[in-house]
Amino acid sequence: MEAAFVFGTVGNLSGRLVVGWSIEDQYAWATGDISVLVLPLPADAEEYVLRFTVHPLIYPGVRDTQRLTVYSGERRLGDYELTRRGSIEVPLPLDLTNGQDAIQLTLNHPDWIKPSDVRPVDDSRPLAICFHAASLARAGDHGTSGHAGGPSPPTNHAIVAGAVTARQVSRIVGTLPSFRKTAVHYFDLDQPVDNFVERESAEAISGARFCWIQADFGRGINHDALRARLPADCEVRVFPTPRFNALWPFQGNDPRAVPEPGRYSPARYPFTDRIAASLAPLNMPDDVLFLMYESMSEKEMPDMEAMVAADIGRLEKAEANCDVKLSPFIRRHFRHKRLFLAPVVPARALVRELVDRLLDSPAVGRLTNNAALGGELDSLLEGYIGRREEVPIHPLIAQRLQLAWWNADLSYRWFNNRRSYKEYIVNYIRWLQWRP
Amino acid sequence: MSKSILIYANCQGEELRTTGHYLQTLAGQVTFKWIPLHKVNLDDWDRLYGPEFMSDVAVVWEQVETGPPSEHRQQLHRRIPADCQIVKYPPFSALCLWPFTGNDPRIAQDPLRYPWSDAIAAVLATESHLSDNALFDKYMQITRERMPDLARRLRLDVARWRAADAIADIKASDWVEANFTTTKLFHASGHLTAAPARFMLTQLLRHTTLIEPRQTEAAIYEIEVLLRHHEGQDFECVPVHPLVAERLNLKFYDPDARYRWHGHEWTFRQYILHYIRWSPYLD
Repeated sequence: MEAAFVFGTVGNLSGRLVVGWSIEDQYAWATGDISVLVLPLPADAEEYVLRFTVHPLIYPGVRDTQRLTVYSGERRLGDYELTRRGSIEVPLPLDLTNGQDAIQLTLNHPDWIKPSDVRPVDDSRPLAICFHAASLARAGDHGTSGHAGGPSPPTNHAIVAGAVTARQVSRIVGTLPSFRKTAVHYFDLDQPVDNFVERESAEAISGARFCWIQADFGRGINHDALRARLPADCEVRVFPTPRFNALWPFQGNDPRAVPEPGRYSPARYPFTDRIAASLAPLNMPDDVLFLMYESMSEKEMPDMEAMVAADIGRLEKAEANCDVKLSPFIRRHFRHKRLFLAPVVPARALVRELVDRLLDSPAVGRLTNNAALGGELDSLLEGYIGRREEVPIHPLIAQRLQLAWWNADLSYRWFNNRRSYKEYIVNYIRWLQWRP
Repeated sequence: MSKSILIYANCQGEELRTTGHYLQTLAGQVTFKWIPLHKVNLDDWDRLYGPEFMSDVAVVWEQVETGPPSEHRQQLHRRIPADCQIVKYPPFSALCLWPFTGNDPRIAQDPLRYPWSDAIAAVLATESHLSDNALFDKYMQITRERMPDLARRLRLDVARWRAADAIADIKASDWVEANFTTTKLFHASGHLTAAPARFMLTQLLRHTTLIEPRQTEAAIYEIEVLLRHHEGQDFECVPVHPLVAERLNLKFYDPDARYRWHGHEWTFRQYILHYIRWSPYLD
């Protein structure tokens, strides 16, 4: 799109609507038989198309159509019969626009009507067609900007297989402008390959240029079936499933954590807290319950550094056979950056690290311009909050682990809810319902 | 047999239905159904909302619209059981908070990316080669110059609220006016925070004769709990321009606020830049 024009007083055309207009805040009515407007042009040698967003004044049974003819001087550029809101295209021949910095258009609209003649309203303007917006685009360009226009069919395929993290990665990579010509498919490794082929296409596998597989998720038979059907030149990389339990050391048994069909699955509070669970039977005021929780959790606080070491050790072991390793990054940064929202929910910084590592591969280099990917990811992940499943961090844990990113005023998202640490703990103890 | 409350409304009705679904007080006795008046088409009436759908409807919560009744509203009234209770209530909307809502030619081709249009940002789309700072400065300069009379815009909104109240059983305009500057009620011109949804659901339950008064009060208490920390229809929060907040004296306004946009939270500046550049985003 070369130019965008918006009608109405808040728009950018008021000074260019020469005659035959009634301008309102957000649009302008073409009035009477003829309206004239002057639109700026880029003064180059390109051929352009004007697209107007318009709606005609229609009174069913009285005025069902508004006719519109567009002229440039004596030259007829288009005829339209308008019955409802929509877009019209006016091709601008090159000989009219070549090197010109503006074009004057005359609009004929003979079917104007006065609303006061039809309805009991105080509006006697001779209204024909309401003009909302217009765009000037090169002939043949149906896009708007970036890759927002009509999608062209992908020429490449890629697969990210696994569970929730894989789906997140597939969406991020598939949204990057550099992957415009690559369909990035998510494959749920709990499902058979045939289901995937049926949902996507046979080409999604046979044409895959790379396949990233999340370790430790899904059924082995599906892993094997997927690998067996990938083409020989498909680059396969395996990435780990990041987990971190140390920030939530009181996970444990809570008999209330069961599915509630139609409401909560896998449970009302799926990340359990055994200390909070033990307080559930007590009928105390909120403040008292919270104080008891704080007191009990302080007494039972484990050796946090040992828990971190255990988490890192488990991840190192799990990623021994992975092509991408996250444990060094987690060890180095978890005190300074928020890397996890919940034990198995990576935060933006860790998602970014994982995606960066996966993108750093020969297969990606053959498909995209690697130099552009960093900037695209910066833009795409700006303000990214990811999965809104955030489990609060106990203040004492933040203190003991010296979490620089933590502060006592943090609020935590849980789907469409936002709660403080204290609110979450009290709600959990009481096993209160929440609404998605 | 469980009876149904049928909500005929725009997307605000979905909020009522979902909250109603979580009310344990009414579980097994009342089911909430929703017909989205902004999406329904003529085929749907036979395909989705035929006699079977309507057979257990005991109450209709009907969101009113000013003007002559649409074909769909007439369909609704032809199909609901003759003896059901109808409670009419007004929609919530606020246009004055987003005075540059207008037209963006990109929406015709890509209607879902940024559906809450901004005419000034649209015009700047062709200058996306500028740096972020230059682009945002230009947006702020133009919007300051073209800021309409917001007191008038608010008066127009109030007039619309009152016009809707006039044809409804439940009145909301006094409540909206009383809370408009102190509490955030709108995420976008027609998308609500939890506060107005809670207000309306409470009023609707109190007008509904199907439910015993004791149960109604228990359900209202449940609503308080369910929506205490809820953010409402927050998946597309359109930031409020700082000058709009100043001119309308919005006491709840936080210039550093971050606004959820699908899988992101952006400041006003970030939102405007993403919008101008028509940037892709994540769910």
